Amino acid sequence: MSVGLFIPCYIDQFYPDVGIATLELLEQFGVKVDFPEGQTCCGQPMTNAGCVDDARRLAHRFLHLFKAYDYVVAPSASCVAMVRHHYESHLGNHPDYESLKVKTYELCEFLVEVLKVETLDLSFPHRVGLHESCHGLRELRMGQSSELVGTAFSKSRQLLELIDGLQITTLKRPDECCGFGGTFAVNQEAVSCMMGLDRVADHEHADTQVLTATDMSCLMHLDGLIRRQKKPIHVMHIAQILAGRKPAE
Amino acid sequence: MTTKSHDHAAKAKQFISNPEKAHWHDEALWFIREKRDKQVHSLPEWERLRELASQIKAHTISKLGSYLVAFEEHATALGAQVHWAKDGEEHNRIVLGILKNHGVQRVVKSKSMLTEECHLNPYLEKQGIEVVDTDLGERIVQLRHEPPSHIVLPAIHIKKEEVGELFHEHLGTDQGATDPDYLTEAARHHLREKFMEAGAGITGVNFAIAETGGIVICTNEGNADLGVSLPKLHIACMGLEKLIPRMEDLSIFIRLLARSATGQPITTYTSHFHGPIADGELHIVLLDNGRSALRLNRAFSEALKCIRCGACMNTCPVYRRSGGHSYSATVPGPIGSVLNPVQDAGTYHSLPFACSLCGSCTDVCPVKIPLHHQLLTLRNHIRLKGHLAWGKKMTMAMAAGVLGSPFLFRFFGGLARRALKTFPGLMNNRFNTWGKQRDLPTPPVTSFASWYKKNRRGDGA
Amino acid sequence: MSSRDNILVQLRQSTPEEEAYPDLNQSWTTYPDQIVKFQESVAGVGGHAVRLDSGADLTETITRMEVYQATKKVASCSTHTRIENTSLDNIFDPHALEDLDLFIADGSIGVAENGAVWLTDEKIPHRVALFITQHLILTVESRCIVHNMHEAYQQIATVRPGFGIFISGPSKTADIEQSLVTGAHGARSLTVFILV
Repeated sequence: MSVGLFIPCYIDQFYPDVGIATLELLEQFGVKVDFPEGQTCCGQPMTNAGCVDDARRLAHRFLHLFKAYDYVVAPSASCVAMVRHHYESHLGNHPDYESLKVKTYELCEFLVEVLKVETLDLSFPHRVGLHESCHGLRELRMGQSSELVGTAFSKSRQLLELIDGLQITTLKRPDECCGFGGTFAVNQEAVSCMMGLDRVADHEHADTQVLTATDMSCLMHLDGLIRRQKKPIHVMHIAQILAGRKPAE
Repeated sequence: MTTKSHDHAAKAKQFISNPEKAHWHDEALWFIREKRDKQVHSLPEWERLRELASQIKAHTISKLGSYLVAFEEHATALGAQVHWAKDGEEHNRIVLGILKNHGVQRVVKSKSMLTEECHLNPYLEKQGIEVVDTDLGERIVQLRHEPPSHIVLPAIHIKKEEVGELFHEHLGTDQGATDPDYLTEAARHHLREKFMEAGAGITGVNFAIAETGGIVICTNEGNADLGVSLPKLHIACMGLEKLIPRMEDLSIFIRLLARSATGQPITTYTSHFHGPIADGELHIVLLDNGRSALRLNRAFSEALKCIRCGACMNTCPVYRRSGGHSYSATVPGPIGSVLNPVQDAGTYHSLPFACSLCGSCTDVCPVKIPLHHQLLTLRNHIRLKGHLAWGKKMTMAMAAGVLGSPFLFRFFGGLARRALKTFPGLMNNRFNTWGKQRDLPTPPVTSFASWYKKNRRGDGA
Repeated sequence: MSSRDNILVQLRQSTPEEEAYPDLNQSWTTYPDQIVKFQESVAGVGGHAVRLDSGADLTETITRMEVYQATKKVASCSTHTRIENTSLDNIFDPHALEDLDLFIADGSIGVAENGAVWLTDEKIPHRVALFITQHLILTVESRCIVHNMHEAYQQIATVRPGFGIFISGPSKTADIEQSLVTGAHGARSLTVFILV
């Protein structure tokens, strides 16, 4: 099986270790991973700002770069949601789009559904707060959102529960948005930060030592608040935990 | 470009500048969301109910014209009088006409967002008619001369101390009294007088039944019923989209409405009116005001399914922290952020951006309107109409240019990282909005792509 | 062209594909004992539900109630009790009911899922009595208690001129800082007698 790795623009530039951890993790499972050159961005920022035409070029580039792989994996639920749900208007008629939609996975989805991971030989004796990113939860349905009635499940939680010593903390609001929201973080700065600080307070109250999520965008925002407030919470992307990293000292 | 606009972000910032009040408001609405969850999770068939409600509404909207004609026919056969209004102004003229024909000087009105939409109160008051809003929350905001901030809980933004002061001034309650029982009792007596004196009762309509010609009104207080069973003149105002085909459909909608709105299994009173009261008159005013046009707007027509429950407001993390007045619209929150800009993008272009796209609204909507997807689509429509801020457009075009070229991307990305490393204060200052309350990420030495080239591509891949 | 005509022309324009009307004939939540559930639901909405076995005397039971003993003006449209000192039949103007303390009426259906009682104004000359009264008593026969709203609506006769209502609990509001207050504008208390 050939896997094309898509690394979101801001992870490439500001959080390369998340990309490295993703790569190393997939390789641990014997997957042949390729990072096609020439990739940049899935087009989410433009689409969210209402500039759909600007995103069109990026959608075509994405399709061109990745269409030959068996699977496309990204450590970002929001980018995967963009490809699966919002490329329709850009690529709708393209013959390769249907198969692209079906084979593009967020990292945890890929581990659970395709690799069918059931054990992890890891120890992480810390209290972990899982932030269920909105795109992962309500777009990709990687877990049951608290609004819906049905059986509870969460693919990211499922993987964390395989780790020795890892305790997942209990939050007052299990899946409220962190407030990043793309350009929202800047255009509605007051609301965005109040939302983020409320999430941080919930985690503090729950005794979270390490805060994790599938989306680095949420974590970038929360980490920014945590460090400004000088709170003793470490932020790690779930790829880093699953790849065996320890919280930085 | 716009001359008059209501900027949500500025108003939200003002709301949050009182963090204690903002947190209190957020907790109050989250509490209602929790009550909703408790009720909803006790019904294993909840998602089935939502799907059926969505289908019934979609079906009704697709045949709205013929269902309205059937409704009119059946309502008229029962002795009601049906009027059609193309816009708010005509609606108000019709209502005034009915009141004048009966020499009515004093009117009691139960909660109707539609009459707010039409600005009926000031219109009637200019004609010398006293209009008293009888829903307690509505009466409170009426006495304060401000609009409701929520479509179901009009006074959710007001603290009991403020109600105490208001009632002391207007109803003669004790100064400094804040006990809700005491204040509600005072309102009960005050409004009972108004019910007794009224010459007519104006209500909204929750559901209109095409096959029977009946209308259904749901309240917890009983104010709608008191208002229309003392005076013999009942004027019921409804949007075209309030129609449902059959009586049986109520079994779905009544189970969804109160649970979604307030976390109750049903409202205290669910009144079914078929024809006027004995020796009385029932006038039903049907309002268009953009609804028939919305029906033809394929990207947003699903918003017509809305049953005005307010669940989207209760769950919206932005609404909870900014308050309904930040939306500057009769219907605020997620549904308001679709309905208002669709009709008037010039005024309401900031609303679809008052959203982090979390999708919680879509998941609580009892009729499954894909609200957060509509809000995203609306942003593009606003850009096409020329209402996107120039700065935003330019930034995005430049970003697309950089991100569209791998070379430019690596170049500017590297530049940004090196600049931040050398001059950390560059970004962490008050001119940078991101940096007001957040630190920026520590700039790494290398990008992923460079690392990959060095550590993997070099292996001969 | 009138507004009516204009609106209908607009509504007939390029109709979206007709969406099918769904099948509502499905299975819904039922309870092991709908009468017990009904009692719980009535209590849950702030009312009182009292089972009255077939031998018991409703009139006598009412006279022992606190709300009755504090009453000055009581009216009844119930076929199960004649207790009243005011008859709605003798009143022409409903405004005269302003000081009604206690009103008793019969419901025809009880709904277990939400504690609601359905009644029409067929036997009530002035429907305002249901709302203007300080305290309300409703009766419902135990064999008429259904599990859910689907069963209730199946029983409700469709077209008849008049007024029908589901009443669930006493009048209430939470408009002042979300504090629940009973007796907003309508009845301050609701007692439902389940007649076995």
